[in-house]
Amino acid sequence: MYNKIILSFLILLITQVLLGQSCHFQISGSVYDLNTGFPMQEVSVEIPDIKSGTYTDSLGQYVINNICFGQYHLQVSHIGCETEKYFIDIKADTILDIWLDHASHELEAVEIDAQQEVKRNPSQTEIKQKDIEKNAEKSLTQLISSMPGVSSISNGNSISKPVINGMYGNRLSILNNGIAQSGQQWGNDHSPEIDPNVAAKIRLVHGAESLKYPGTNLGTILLVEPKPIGHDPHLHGRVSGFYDTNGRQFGSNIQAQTYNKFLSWKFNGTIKKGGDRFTPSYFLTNTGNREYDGSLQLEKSISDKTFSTLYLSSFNSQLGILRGSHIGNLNDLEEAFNRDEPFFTSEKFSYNIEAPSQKVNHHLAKLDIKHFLNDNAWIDYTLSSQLNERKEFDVRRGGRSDIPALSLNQWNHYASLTYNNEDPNKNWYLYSGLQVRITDNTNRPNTGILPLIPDYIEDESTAFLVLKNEKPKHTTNLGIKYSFVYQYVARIETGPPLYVQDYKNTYHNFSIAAGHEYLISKTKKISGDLFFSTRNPAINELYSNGLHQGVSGIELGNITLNKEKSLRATLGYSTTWFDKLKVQGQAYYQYINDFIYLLPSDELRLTIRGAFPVYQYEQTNGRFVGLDTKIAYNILKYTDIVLSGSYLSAKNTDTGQGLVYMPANNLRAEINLEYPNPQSHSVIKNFNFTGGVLHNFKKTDIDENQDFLPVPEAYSLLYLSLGGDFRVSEKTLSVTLKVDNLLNTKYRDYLNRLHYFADEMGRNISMNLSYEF
Amino acid sequence: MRNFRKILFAVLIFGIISVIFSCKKDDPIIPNEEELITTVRLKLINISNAKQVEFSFRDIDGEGGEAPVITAGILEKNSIYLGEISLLNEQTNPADNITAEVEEEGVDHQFFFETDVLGVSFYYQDTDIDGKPIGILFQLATQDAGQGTMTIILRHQADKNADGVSNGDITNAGGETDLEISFDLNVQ
Repeated sequence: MYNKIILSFLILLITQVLLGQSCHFQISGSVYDLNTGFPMQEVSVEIPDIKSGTYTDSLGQYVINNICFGQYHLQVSHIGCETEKYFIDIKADTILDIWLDHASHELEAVEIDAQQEVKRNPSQTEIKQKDIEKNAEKSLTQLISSMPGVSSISNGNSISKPVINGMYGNRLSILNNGIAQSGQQWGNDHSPEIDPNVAAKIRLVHGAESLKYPGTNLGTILLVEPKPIGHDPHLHGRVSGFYDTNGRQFGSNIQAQTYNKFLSWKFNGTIKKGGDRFTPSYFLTNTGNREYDGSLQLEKSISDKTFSTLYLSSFNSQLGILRGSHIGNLNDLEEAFNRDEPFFTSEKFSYNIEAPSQKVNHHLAKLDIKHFLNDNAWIDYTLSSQLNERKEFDVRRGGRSDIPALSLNQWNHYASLTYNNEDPNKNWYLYSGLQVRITDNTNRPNTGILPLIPDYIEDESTAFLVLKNEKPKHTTNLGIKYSFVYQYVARIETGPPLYVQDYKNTYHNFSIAAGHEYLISKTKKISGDLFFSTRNPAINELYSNGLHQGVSGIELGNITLNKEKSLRATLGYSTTWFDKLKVQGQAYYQYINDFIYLLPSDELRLTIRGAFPVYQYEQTNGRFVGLDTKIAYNILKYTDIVLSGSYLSAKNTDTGQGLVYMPANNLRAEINLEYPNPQSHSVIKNFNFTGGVLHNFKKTDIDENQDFLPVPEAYSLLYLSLGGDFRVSEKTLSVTLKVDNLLNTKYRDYLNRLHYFADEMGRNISMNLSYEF
Repeated sequence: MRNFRKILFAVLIFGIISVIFSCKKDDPIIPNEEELITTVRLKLINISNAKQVEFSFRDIDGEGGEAPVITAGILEKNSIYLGEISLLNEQTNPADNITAEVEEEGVDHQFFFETDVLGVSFYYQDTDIDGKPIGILFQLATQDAGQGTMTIILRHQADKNADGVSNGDITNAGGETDLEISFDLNVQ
């Protein structure tokens, strides 16, 4: 508030000074579609500071007259585009040509970076800022699962992790601000500890280009990317609030940033509190959630060639797990499955979280120094540390439910030094570097339970080289990466008496990739990638030992496992007919030799809690064939009909059976209306409506002997969303109303572990208000 | 030249970090598994002749590891036995008495008895503070001779008010299983 008063005062002062100045300057230019290069008409170009604005004509041109000497914000918006904002300094007549990224929600997109260079990024999928803002209440996984080829594996509503083309957990790295997220990624019931509200963009990167990022990579990685602060010296930001009817989750997100020559800063904070979710007929008792996240981004120019960024973030969550899903043995599981509603279902709603539950804290500090050697080449030096603290609480005897049954601390330190050269005159772009990563994982001894995952240290040293050749019609990507991995494990062995055994392993991982993209015409594009990589077995695959609630069985690691060798080939195609019909598709084939998976053995091991199935990590050969596709038809001026679908066949080629825990196929049909309301004085702008249906097919490639219980049936869900931007004293108030599972359909999803116990959430109406200043 | 020094500096820091690579993990502290039940003992006394029979289930290394050792006794037909269950954690020395813990949290615990031997029946002989059965003390009655199995289940946080649960019917009990063991039962 205080800042705002100062700000208003400053603006007043500047206006006063400017009044005496001449006001005859002109800003003009053209707006082009970044993908096709065509001029774009009816693009709104505004200067909100002086309530001045216009629309581009049929040639894509705009002119704004009578502008005074001074500094302004220029806002460019168009349907289907991310609104772009520029900070401009007017000293004379100015010509500003703008390339807009008119490709939101598309499989393949192109970006404008801070320098507004036009760069092609082959094979990527992304979620843009506007969609992140509209869905501030959602978790990272929920947010991205609308993308083609992305689904989620979960343990109830608040615990879920993304699955991309069948890859997840140990096989998929998530990069938060360029740093590979470190934590207990192996667990299917462990969510990524990232607040998606920090991101300006969330995108998937496939192919050779992805090799410049750290982390395990079998062909795809997920990037969560905040935006640089920019050069706007005013305080800007957003305050949003949201409420969900189902679970009565409420919360808020606050963002603020300002540029200063001395030090620029940006803050992002999110709080959330939710209670028991509701299926169409009963409460899901103990499924509440709490989340408190904060991040601070500090940018400082050390010289005109050296820039530094310090990023600090803290993610803290407490997640309840359905009380009725906590079972003692297999008989309990069968009994739970045969019930109409789960045991311990309460008649009343509650925000309380009791055992079973999880408490997770994740802290990240990152220092990044970028030094430009010349206009096109720079050296980047990054240092980061992460601390992940995970505590899982079970229902226990003797008042021990408050003592975690699993308590793990993981430190991860990372350093990288890269050399990058993007000289446009040479056609070749080069990215190369060294990365070092140290992971230190420790079980806290106060649990009173033998740990499932041992204490260990894992060191990894990596060298990579990525080359990119850009010609008007052809883009070629080449990449190579080598990593040396060292593991030191100290495991408690079952006695009696119990004793500690040390293990040491070393692995060499190689990746090599090549991709090519050919622009057949301005509207047709074809691309292909080949990606070979190896992945060393993870600690849990080698050394886990004990009863694992997540699989309702005894899970045994296997120290004889070899590296996985993966080959992935992709073929992408996109075309537009008469500017009306857009067709995009990406087909992939991935073969993983020595694919590591949990094999249920015939053995039932007798324990004091009854007989448990024994699962052992084994290797086979896995084959993944899939297609992600999207067809958009522009039926009316502001209306699109969109069909999208994902198909995946994941097979164990040794047995001919399907691989377990892989997503089912799905189809989505949507109607989108986006009406910009192109009168600059209108109160409501960017009115948008989406209505759609999602159909999830039943998985048919899982045999009876591969799971405890039959695979859930197919289901269809209706959803809609309605929103618009209101002008409130020259600022924007965005309102979004969404309804998920409109018909209150009762269904169960195969990739949710809770499908053994309970139905999925029923109808949810969520409201989101966001005020931008 | 200044640039060169900066690069050199960066390389140096990078080098130092690579060198201090940790390469040994300290031995973990072995947790004290105080909640573990390794041993179940069933002591049965024939009320007519005071003869004692004992059943026991021992899994010293806990879940996983070596298979448990199970010993079963022989019961006389047409007899009434008084039974007592004792639960122990024998990983500690002296062994922890877990029965006391179950008794203390009596409202949250209940034993259930099942058998396929005809004529064998079980009756609860103890109650929690709400007057509902726990099952640490019980009565076992035999009729004709027969052979089969006897299963003992301990449920945590079962719903003792649900239909039939207080009479020993597990169907509507819910909760989670803390213990489920089976013995060969031989009535002669």
